[in-house]
Amino acid sequence: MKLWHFIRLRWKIVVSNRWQFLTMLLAPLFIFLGTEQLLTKGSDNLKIPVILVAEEQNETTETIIQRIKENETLHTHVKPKAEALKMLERSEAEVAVVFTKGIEEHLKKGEIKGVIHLYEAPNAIATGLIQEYVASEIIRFATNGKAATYMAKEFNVENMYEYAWNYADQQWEPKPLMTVNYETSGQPPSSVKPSKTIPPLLYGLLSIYIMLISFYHQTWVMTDRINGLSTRTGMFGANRLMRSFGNLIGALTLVVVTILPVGLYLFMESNLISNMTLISGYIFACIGISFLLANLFTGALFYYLVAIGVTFLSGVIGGSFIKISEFSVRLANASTFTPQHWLFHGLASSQSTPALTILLLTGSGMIILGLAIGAIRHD
Amino acid sequence: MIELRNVHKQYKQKNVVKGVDLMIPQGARVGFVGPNGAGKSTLMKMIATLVKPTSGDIFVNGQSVIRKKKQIRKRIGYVPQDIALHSSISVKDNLIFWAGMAPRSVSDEWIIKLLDMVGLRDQLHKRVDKLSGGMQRKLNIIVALLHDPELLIMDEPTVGIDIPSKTEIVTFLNALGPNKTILFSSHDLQEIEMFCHFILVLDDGILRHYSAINELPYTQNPTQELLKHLQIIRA
Repeated sequence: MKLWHFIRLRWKIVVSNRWQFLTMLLAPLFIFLGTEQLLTKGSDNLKIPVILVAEEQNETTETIIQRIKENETLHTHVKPKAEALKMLERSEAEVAVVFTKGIEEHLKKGEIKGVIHLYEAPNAIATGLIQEYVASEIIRFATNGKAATYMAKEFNVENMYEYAWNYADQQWEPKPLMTVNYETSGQPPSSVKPSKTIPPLLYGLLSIYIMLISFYHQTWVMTDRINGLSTRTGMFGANRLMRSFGNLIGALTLVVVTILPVGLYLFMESNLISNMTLISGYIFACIGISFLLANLFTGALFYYLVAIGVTFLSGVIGGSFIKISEFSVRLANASTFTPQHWLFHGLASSQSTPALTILLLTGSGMIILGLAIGAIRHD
Repeated sequence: MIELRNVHKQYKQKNVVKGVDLMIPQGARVGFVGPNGAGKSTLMKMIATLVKPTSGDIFVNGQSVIRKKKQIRKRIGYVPQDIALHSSISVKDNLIFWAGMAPRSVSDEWIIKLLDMVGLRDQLHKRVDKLSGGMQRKLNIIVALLHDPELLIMDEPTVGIDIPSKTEIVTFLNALGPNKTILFSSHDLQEIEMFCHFILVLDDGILRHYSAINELPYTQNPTQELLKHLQIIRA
């Protein structure tokens, strides 16, 4: 089947340069991971810095410290008291929480007075919030301890204290432990496992890469025309439609495979099949746009310049970097003409089918237009 | 046999080929000569079914290039002026691709025979862009011959290569046998004299001369003398 020859040819051309192929395959993954790492590190700056000081080391202080560390709004450091106080002087933390000597004994009896001492930095603004977090953990421990001590006294059974403590502790779940009533707006998707949130900028960078790589894989439209390959193919009896479809399928599969490492990572991290479907739709739209433009232009250099321009401009307007559409109604309207907008719209929405439909229609429309232009042109 | 009947070609307002009538017998080797822009490539492309005549018709073995394009293409091998090969893949991969594209089935024996004829067999695994200019030209011709066409149309197939490579190509074309009709355009008049039986001179889209080379009334450099006589200043 001649169609298969074109698909295989696309692959052979790309794979013939192994290093280039490997770079195309792994570069997005490394960029993705690197940027994610940077963004995660950067996010520590947005957390409240807290120093935890344990005047005595035991199971209770270790468990309390561990539980406070798990709080996503706090960026914790465990330091000796002297160093903690110096850090506060330098305003390197908001608060230092000191777990005083004898805390374990006190908490076992359910006593909470004098078990922690709070030092705050001169310009501290979040002391109340930290106090709330720490206090809730302390109260939890004290209540568990008091209940377990009572049960152990009342029922002289082996391991009663541990059993009662753990049982009481479990009653504090689910989190969070807050003194205010709150509600979460919107309904979380019930069938989906809790997933890690991928920063939007990563999807933005991915959208830019996909568009650029799609443009790159469509260079054949011009080079085949310039060096007489399309003429020769025609002489061999393969019609233009078959040639175009074969090469298009080749380019499409190449872009999909190039994105596969990142895709697998995203799938494992976010566990959302709808994201994968939307990205596939976006790839299809990019393939369509690049095919149309490649059919419009004659010179490869000009095509590359246009490709960079279109990618950058649609990326900026479509929201690959920041949500520029929020700045004005005109920009918001303009962004709807970019495939990036529909990708991000679909990713953010619980219902991705409309966005996917628009992306697929865009891709198909562009391919049909590209084919029509290619047919009019004299190869 | 190829027959051209009052063939015209017009691009926008410009007449590129003006009323060419011609008869090329089976097995003839015809050298197309003329200055740049004379209409040689357009005429060749029209015979090769790649360009449609504005008026008139061309018949290849009695079949019109306008009405029986598909059938005629199966019988034609066309060598474009450019190296129309996939340069970043190997010679072998190129041959596999073009053999798969060919309108007739291509046997491995035939491919090996062609490779041996031009001395490319030991270059099979080399990337095309790593081959010398001469070797690329040879491969460019081999691809056109994969389906063993009866008619071979070559638009300046030896342009830009050294004299030994040109000689090798001409030797190879001679070895293809007397049954193949070959249309060959070149600016190298010696090459035309060495290889062709007939000479066709085009100037400004007009057929100025068509005859057998050995019928020309010149003894030394007959083609050059003919062009002088026709007052065609070569580019």
